[in-house]
Amino acid sequence: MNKKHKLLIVLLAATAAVWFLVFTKSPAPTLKVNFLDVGQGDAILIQTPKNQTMLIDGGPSNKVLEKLGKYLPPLSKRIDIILLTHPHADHVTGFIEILKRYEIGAVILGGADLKTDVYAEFLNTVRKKDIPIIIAEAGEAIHFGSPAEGPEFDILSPEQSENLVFNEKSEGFGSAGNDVNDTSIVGKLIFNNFSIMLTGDATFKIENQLLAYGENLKSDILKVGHHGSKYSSFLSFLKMVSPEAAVIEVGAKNRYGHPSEATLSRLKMVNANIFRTDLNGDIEIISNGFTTNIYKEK
Amino acid sequence: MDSFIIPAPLLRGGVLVFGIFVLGSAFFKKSQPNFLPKVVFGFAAIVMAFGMMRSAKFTERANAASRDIIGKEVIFEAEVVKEPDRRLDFAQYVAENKSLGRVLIKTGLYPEYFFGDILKIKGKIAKPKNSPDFDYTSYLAKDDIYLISQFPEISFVRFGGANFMAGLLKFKKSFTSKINSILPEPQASFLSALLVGAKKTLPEELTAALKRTGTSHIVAISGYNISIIAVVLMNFFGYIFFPRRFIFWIIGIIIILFTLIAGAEASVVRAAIMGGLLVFAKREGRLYGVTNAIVLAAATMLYFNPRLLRYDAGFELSFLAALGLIYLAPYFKKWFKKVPNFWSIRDSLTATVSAQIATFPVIFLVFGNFSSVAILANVLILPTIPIAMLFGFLGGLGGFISLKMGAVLILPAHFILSYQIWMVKTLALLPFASTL
Repeated sequence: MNKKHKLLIVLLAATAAVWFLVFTKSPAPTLKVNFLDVGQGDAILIQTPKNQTMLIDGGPSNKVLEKLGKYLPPLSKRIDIILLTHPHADHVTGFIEILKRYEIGAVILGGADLKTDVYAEFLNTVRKKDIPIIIAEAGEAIHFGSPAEGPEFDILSPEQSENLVFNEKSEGFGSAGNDVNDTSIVGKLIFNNFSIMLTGDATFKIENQLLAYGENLKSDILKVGHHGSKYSSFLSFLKMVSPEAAVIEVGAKNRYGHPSEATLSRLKMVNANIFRTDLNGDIEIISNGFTTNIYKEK
Repeated sequence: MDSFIIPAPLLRGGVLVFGIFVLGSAFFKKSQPNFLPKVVFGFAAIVMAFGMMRSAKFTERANAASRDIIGKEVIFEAEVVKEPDRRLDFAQYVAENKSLGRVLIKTGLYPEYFFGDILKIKGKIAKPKNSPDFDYTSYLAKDDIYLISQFPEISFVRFGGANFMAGLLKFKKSFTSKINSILPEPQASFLSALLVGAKKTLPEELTAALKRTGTSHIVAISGYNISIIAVVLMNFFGYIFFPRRFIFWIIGIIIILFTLIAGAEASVVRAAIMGGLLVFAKREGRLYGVTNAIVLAAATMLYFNPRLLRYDAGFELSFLAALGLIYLAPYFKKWFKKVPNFWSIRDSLTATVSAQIATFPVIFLVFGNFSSVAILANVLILPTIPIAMLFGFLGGLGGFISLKMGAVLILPAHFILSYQIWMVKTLALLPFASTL
């Protein structure tokens, strides 16, 4: 091999490296929200213009790991915030392996405790890794940049964080009206003119309380509550949010019959475009704060 | 109906008596011209009779598997006797109880149990069910499992005590967890599959793509991986001027440990026995008779587990591939003389074509699948495997010191793995990639 060849190889490698960087770096400062298709459960990845990352819920299995590999930058093994809306298995299970494999900045919880094996394992792993825990409460907000430039995540619910302990060995609904789903962290992600309402598994009971926010509920996109179950997404709430698009995180042929026909027709009544992870795969929303694009996998 | 057929005792005895008779008659009239064929035939008949008896003994055990408890709720204590099989959304444990034998337990991912744990299990016991395209009963039978229990109540009793195997599996787990902390998915699972044969956590989509492109064997530990490891080690120890006679012992021990770590599947054991013989032959300075090695490997494996012969497609495929590489490869080597051996492309081509032809009948019969891009895919991917394995291994080891260091060391493997996965997925997209 002569000098020319060597030079050529070096140049080729350099070009490849530059292109690799070009392809992996997003040019304009955009907010990316990925509704991941993880089967019957929730997992929503948020990447801010400054490359901070937040994962809302971990899904029902380790399927989420492959999705993170797909959407996070190739060499990144850090997630700044993981936020668990509530401790049900279809939201927490995937987090355990994520905690083991990724460097996590902080864990945000809703304050409800559920006595299941999966949730106990989750808490143990958080403790073992010595990751700070923050209990979310309505009125608080996460600022991903200066208040002027955003984005920010405003927490609208749960109202109180008195210790709610659910002594359910099973995943079932809590007794005496203490529905675990209603402890869900509900929040609104705002970036300039763009906003997404994220409701976890909250039911109409919480939606009714939220109506007190009035005009502030208005959002461009709604993550439909509780996988499109009929006990969520009531008309009065939907009218207040009046979303352009509604995203339902739901698994194909799930045994609960999500999403319900009733919910789908209510969404149509408010003229929301419906996106479903069971039909559309991963749903990616990219916004610069003024114009927003929605991409679906299928 | 029993799915395990036992040759009748009369038949077994008959074959034995017949063999003895043929052998006896041969010795009775030694001067006959067909003395030698008679001896060989008689001897073969006797060996066959012994084989039938042994197989009958094993199958009897299968059919005796406490049928009266099937469908009933049972409480029992059992020890986890195999490496836990953790998938994306559930886990499976092989638990052994003195009176029930082995029971396959399917349950959630958490809480996590480990090899050697003693568990108290309360739940329904059932027989494995076959689906139209998969003989699940036979698949489990090869590992001596005849009962299953799905999502029973499990409680941890105690740890059965540390032993050698538990230690080995613990090391494997911490090694793969280092890789998992450094690489994203699916690269992490892909690398673990290459290095220690942990392929169960690959995403469904990728597993299907591997099948479509005829590259599934890459993620199953085989003779190929073992020979790479042996050669790299031999060069390494040779390089640091280690005395020759020690090198062979060390490599032999490493191959055995590796086999245990990789889960001792049929293909791994076969490769290990043959690889060990190769190393041994070199040490003794004798010629390595490959045919003898294959026969010895098969005989040894069947001695320990006769079920492999009938119930393990992996056993058949592994030996067919080896036979293809030995007997067909020389012909194809001549065919492909003109192909440049840049990055050992010609060797990969020869090996792939030989192995594909040898294994095609069984693959087609068992899996009903023929991949038309297999040769292309293998030639494009195989040459890059050794580098991925080497840097992946170094990165994993580096991870024990610090994850940052591991991440730097693993970088070349990261790129190559991404290339391999991309290639497999792209080729699988071709509409004519696979016929079913």
